[in-house]
Amino acid sequence: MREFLRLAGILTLVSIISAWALSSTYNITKPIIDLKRYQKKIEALSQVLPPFDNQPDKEIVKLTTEKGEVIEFYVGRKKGELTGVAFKKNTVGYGGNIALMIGVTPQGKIYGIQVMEQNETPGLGAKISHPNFLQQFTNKDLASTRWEVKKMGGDFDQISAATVSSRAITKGIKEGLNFFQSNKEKILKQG
Amino acid sequence: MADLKRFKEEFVKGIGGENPTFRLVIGMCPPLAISTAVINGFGMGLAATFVLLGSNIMVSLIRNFTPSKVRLPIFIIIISTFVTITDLFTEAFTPDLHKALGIFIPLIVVNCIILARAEAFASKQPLLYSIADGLGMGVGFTLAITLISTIREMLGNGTFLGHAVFGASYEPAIVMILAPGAFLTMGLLIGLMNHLGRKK
Repeated sequence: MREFLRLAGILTLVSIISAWALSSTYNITKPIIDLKRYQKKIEALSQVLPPFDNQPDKEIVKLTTEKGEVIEFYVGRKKGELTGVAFKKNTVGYGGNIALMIGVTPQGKIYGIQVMEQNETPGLGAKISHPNFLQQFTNKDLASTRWEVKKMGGDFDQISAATVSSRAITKGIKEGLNFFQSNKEKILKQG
Repeated sequence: MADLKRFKEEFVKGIGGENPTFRLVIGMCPPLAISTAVINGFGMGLAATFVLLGSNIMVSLIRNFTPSKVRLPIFIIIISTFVTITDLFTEAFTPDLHKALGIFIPLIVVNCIILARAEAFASKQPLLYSIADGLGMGVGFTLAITLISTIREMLGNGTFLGHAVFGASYEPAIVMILAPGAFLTMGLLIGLMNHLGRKK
């Protein structure tokens, strides 16, 4: 019994010290991590939205898709006039989830796209983050475009040997645009 | 000084004769999985070195108070503490690297190099040599994984640290970036190391 208590005591002591070390590290790094995430979001917003002078990250409209995905729409304005809406959309690629930041003009045309998170194969699918690939979506809207890669009879170039990743992006943007169009009034009115 | 000589020996063995990746062939998951780009390989090496050094220091410091019946849980607590600290710090200061390494930073916990050094070395040796051992093994691991990533990134993507090295006409051998490329590179390098070792 005494041996048991001694062992348990030592383990407890080690755990307490470890917990203390972890909580201190967490407290030190938490504000830095939050700041970096925030900066990244702001940077992405300024990349995908037409020029704005408000704080789009403060003007948020939250909507839920049929599949239960919650999408936040960030509304950009210049001198009070609405210039565009940005939102984060998830899509499934070759290596798991891909998070896109999509910027649309009020007319429903793509203004800019940024890849926020991805786990695609480095050197192959990971090229979806490259501006050369993402540029081709600029100025496209739902009506005038076939939202597929060329290999599948659509309008967009795929990255060679990364068809799954390329199609995932195309599909993600298309779904995002669809959702934006069908909720346009709600977003623009509230925002 | 005998101390310094031993320190040097313990340090050098991890890089050469007892290199964890090429000689002991333990902790093979990261060198295979994340060696697709040099920056990832090098970052992973540094992260593992930090954990290895930290855990070796702690394990060695408390070696006389560690009851052998509960030593493994204690080692695991120490190692996972350092891994979580590494995880938080990389996310705060190098978010891009943190994202690139993803799940493989938390997985350093189960990297058997670290537990093996704690059990086989640090729990029996004084602090100074444990530091040398941790550093040596860490540097050896970092060199190995960086070498593998260099070969894979150059052949598979035509770049080194993201800069093109072979010019635009080079057609990358995509297989090198994929899983088979990892095994090919690893196998050939281990073969080469064995060959060189035998000659001596």
